[in-house]
Amino acid sequence: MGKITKYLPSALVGSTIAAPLAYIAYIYQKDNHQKQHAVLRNFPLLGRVRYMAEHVGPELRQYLFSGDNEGLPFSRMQYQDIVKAGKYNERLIGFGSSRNFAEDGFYIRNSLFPKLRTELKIDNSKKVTTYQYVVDHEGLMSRKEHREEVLTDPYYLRDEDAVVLGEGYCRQPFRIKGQVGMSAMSYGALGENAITALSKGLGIAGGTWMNTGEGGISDHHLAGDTDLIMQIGPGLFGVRTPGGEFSWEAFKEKADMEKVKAFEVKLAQGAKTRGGHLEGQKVTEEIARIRLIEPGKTVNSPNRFTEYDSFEKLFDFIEEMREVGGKPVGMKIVVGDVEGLEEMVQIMKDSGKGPDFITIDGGEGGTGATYQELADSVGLPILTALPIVDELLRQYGVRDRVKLIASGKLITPDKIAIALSMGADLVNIARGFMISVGCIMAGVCHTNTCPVGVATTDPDLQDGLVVGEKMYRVANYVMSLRAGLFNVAAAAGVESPTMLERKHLTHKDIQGRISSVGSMIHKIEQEEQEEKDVEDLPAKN
Amino acid sequence: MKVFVFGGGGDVGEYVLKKLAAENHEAITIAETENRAEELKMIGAADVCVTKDYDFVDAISGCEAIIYIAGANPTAGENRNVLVDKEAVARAMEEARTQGIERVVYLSPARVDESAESQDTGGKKIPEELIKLDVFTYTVVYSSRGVHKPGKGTIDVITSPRKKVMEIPYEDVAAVLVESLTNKATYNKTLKVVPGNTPIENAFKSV
Repeated sequence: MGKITKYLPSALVGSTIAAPLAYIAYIYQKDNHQKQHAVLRNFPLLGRVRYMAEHVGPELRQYLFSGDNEGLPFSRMQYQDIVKAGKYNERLIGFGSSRNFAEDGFYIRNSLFPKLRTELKIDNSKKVTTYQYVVDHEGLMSRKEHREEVLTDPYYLRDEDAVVLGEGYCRQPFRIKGQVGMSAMSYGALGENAITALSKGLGIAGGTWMNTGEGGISDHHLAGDTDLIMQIGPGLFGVRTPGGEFSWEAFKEKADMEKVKAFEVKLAQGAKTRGGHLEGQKVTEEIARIRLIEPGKTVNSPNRFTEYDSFEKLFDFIEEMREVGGKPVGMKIVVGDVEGLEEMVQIMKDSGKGPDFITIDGGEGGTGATYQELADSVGLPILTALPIVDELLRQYGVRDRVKLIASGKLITPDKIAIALSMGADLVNIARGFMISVGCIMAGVCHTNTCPVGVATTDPDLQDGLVVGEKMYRVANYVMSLRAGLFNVAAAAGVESPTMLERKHLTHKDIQGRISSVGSMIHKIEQEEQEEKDVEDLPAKN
Repeated sequence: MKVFVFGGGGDVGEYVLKKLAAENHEAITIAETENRAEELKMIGAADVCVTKDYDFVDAISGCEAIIYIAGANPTAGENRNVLVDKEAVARAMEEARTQGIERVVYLSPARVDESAESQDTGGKKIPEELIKLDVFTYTVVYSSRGVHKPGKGTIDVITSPRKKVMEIPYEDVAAVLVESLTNKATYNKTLKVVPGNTPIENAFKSV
């Protein structure tokens, strides 16, 4: 006993020093003799520091080194805006904006006579029961807070201001009392807990919609009391025959569902230009049932519908869908080919046919898996694409029968208001909603290892996402966006955000010069004409 | 019953309109603008008199009762919702007497958990003295601090002030006002209402 007590301290000190030294020696030898990495052969230990820094760099940048307004796709500030709105229903800030006003950007033209709160056309006649957190104490290492049940104003549009899809063109138009809804996110891309929380949260908020994504209508989309827009992609999931063709019978069955209010045909979308691929091992019994495919069997979906390859055929198909289903049918596009778009609008005018709504997905959109080259450079960003589509529809006199839904990083009321001013009737949000159910922007949506259980079907990881908690954050987020839109409308001097127009928007360039949206479109047209003139020159040899 | 609600556009008032409509009463109230009038009709008002100078004489005609949520006055504005406009109450009561309205339910701006000094600040208690002295069958309600939380339909009526009382949902305060309207147990009484576990009707039995 005495000897142990005597030698224990030296033994402990010895092993504390010896063990790391031994490990370092082992690593040194191993790295020095490997042939794969040059840096490790030359600097065996320092080289490892590089790999470690690379691994934890994103986290360090996010929490320690990046400024509040840095970071893409969303800055820390934008991320916090969503979280605070969902959790605390808190949107006030102190000490002014941290936006860099020297850069170019869009601004809402505020009226010198803004509308009073009592002059705004809001429908708050049905208050909404939700939960929000109240902070009791905020310490350096801890935060004490508790959840409270509250009644809150939903900020619906008045009945007369409601946006109606398919009015006058189909038997069951879709009337919407809020201008913000959920962009297409399939069950499978997001886990069942995430989809369920979104469905229930949107149902609580009311006056909104949920786009099912091309993966079809799952029980999780139906879990809440919210309206659905069913998306139909080239894979025809949920509306296909066993042979892979469009099934009118399955389509009619979906159209008869009360919660399904409209359909959206997805054309060549930027992020999915590659087409779809679903590994057989992911095709569970449930997914097979939802998508009407065979369990366990790999399914490849093409990057465009094989049924039609021209606007005429597409419009005939849409007409038939509208006739059979009785509900509005829209189409989702990414704008890149402006001339092709003009051709489409021309055909809409000439034939009197076409979609009830067009969803314009900005090139910056995208929730999940795609290739870098497609995500970065295919398709125009929303604030460029949107006014082009709006203007074309106006020029050809068909704007009145088509509603526009815009999407692409429009996650805060000011960004949404800018899109509405540019011509959007409604706005779709995907990643904002992912953040509201707990997404921490880990950037691993494509790996099925989402650490917070949002973009994963792994049951263990999904266990972290509690539906009963997150659904209220979704509801609070939607309602806070709508409240914010009314704030912007009041500042612009109009009674409702449905009245926001181009004239309420101005663009300031880096030199401080301002221009209107109309003049910007005119400039684009001029440049296109100049490009055409160049095309007329002899081809280069 | 045709009921004129002074303060139908406030936090408690909106619930009063909704509950009156739910119980098949006819709620009449006033608003500053057409836009606000439309909003109050959506909530449950049968009719809304649009006035900017607080001219309610025609609108009150034919009403059988008044619910007065103190502080309510279109000219008072949001910054005066604590200090009651006693002149406005006096005008309302005078007109009520002229029209033969006997039943008045009055929500005091003084809270049940305020100190006596604070309850007197800004003349908060003067109008209710006026109501009590007049010809009306009155009910005066003091409540604890209202919050936007879902109502439970349960309260406690207390007789002596408590040191600390909980927040009460606006919806429950509104339910107390509407229930008082026809519940004879509350006639010519001052009720001190706090959140509790007794259904409102039962709570009135012990008054």
